[in-house]
Amino acid sequence: MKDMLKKLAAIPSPSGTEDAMRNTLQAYLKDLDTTIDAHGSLIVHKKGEGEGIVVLAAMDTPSLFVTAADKGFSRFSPTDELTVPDGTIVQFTDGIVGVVSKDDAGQFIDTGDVPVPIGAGAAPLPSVWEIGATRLCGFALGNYAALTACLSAALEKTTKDVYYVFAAKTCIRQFSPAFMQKVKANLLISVEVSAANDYPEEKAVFLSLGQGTSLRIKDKNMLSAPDAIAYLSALPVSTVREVSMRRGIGGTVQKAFGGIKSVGIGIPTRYADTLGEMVDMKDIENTKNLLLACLSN
Amino acid sequence: MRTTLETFCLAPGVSGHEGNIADVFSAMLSPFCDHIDRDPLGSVIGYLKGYADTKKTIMLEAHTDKIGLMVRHITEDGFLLVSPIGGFDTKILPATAVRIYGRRVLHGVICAVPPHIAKNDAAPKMEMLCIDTGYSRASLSDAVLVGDVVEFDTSFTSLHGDMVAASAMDDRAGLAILYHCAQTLYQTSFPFNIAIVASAQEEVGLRGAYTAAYNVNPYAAVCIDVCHGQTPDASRNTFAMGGGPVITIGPNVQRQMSDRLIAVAKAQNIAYQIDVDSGDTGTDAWAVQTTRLGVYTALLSLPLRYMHSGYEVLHLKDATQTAALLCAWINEIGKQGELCF
Repeated sequence: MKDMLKKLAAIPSPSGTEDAMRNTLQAYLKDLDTTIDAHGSLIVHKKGEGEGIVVLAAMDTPSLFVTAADKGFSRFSPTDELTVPDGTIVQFTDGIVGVVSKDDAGQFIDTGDVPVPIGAGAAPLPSVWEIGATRLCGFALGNYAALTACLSAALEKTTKDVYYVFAAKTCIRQFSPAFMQKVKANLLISVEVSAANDYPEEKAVFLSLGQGTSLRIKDKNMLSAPDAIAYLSALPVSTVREVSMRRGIGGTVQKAFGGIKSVGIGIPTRYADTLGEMVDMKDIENTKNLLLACLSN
Repeated sequence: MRTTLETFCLAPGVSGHEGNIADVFSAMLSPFCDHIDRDPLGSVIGYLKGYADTKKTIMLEAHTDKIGLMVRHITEDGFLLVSPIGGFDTKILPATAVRIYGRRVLHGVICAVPPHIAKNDAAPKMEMLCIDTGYSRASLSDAVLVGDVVEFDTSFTSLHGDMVAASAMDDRAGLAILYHCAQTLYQTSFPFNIAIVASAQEEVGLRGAYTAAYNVNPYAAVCIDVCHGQTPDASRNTFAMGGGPVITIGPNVQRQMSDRLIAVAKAQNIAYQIDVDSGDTGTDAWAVQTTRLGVYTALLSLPLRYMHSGYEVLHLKDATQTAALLCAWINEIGKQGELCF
């Protein structure tokens, strides 16, 4: 599973240009029934018993888009709330590498003398570093960890009718939930990035690494269904109750069309929204096990 | 109306946790409906069928949820840190009595710094507010969990005349009006169906109204919510208590529907007030109006003092007059045959 995470985290996947990530996911899922919706989200339907369950994870990462280019210097606009300090090395989806810096007009990406077209997407250079036995750090590792947990669960045998949705363009806040018209389900499990703050002098630790998957009772744009939280809490997998102050991807889907009963779960992630997000493999394994327990129970 | 309002106001139901009020409302509404549904977000939808061949539906809507707090963390010394559900003015929260819905119901008080030792009079930050239950952390462990919801611990109080005070008049007053309308309307058959909708999660982004309106798929809708009542220190954008229902005019509503409501009010000698709102009104009317291909929408509001506090003050006459206007309007458009604006 660690190898899967490292492989996925090496793929730049700016919102709207997720082709490389989608191709990689499809290769993993080649023996399953997959479709792609008009927005690029990848949907995997594993037929099974009972009413359908949607398991949702993002396949894109926060990124930068070129808004103006001049002789190898590109102005850009970020998705979501991504901030990149000067000196950050970024990579475009076609492999071109550049360095972020700024002048009086604001930040730019310097790609040497290599021209970059307007609209090109870039993300901080993919990098994963192992720290000790179970921890890793790198850019957008929370996103990649959620993706890894879902993908690895999708590759296991389960009994319930389930749709895995690897959603595209989620980092633009109001992403399209059009895929919900292709699924027949009555429960959404949204796998999110949850901010851990277990630092040495922190007085109010809301979430820790390595203690279990977060049950997101509330986040900025979704309230989980209380009975779904109770159901997940009762499964024999380590979980931690969390009231998150972050925006998730589930809220957009929960209220789409006629609505769907929804619950958010999260991978505890230190330093969320920075270039050095840290996750613990125990939490990723645990999240996969939570999904499997839910989808087989 | 007073008894209904008291029943609804005292029922628990913070956004996302509307199960109790939804059960109460469903049970009271069911004798007057052909059938009742609950949608995936927890909105209650009661249907009154019209003539046999009727396809169009009018949706009458108010929201079930109330603002509240959610336990985010239990400190080493047993205080509860909280996160808001809905919009709060943190100035009014310190020293307020609250009820915590944990494994059992606990009473608490929101911590306050007395003026004698306060460093300044700035409003406290929400992340600094915490609840004192008197228990230690160890004692709380079997009673309160992160994610438990918290409500104002207030009563339903009669003021002078027809004025009443309680928390959650926003929008339990709307529910009371829907209930009284259903009682009247079920006795008549109309050339359209009527859907009585008590939607969930309004206070956190109109979420329940989006899905309820999608599921009902109405031709037209009247949403009922609250607006600001006049007080000596707030006269702009406020409305007279006891001055009757407030009919909204603006881009978030259909002018023909507002005009018909005004005409019916005049014909029935029902006092009314006009609110011209150039924006999206901040109410479920926005979610309903923009659902699917669009819905003809009107908005009736009740003047309410001290909105989003532990004691919101309402004039009962405004509620009874709103119910009367809504019923008279339904009867009037029922006479015209096919529903058309």
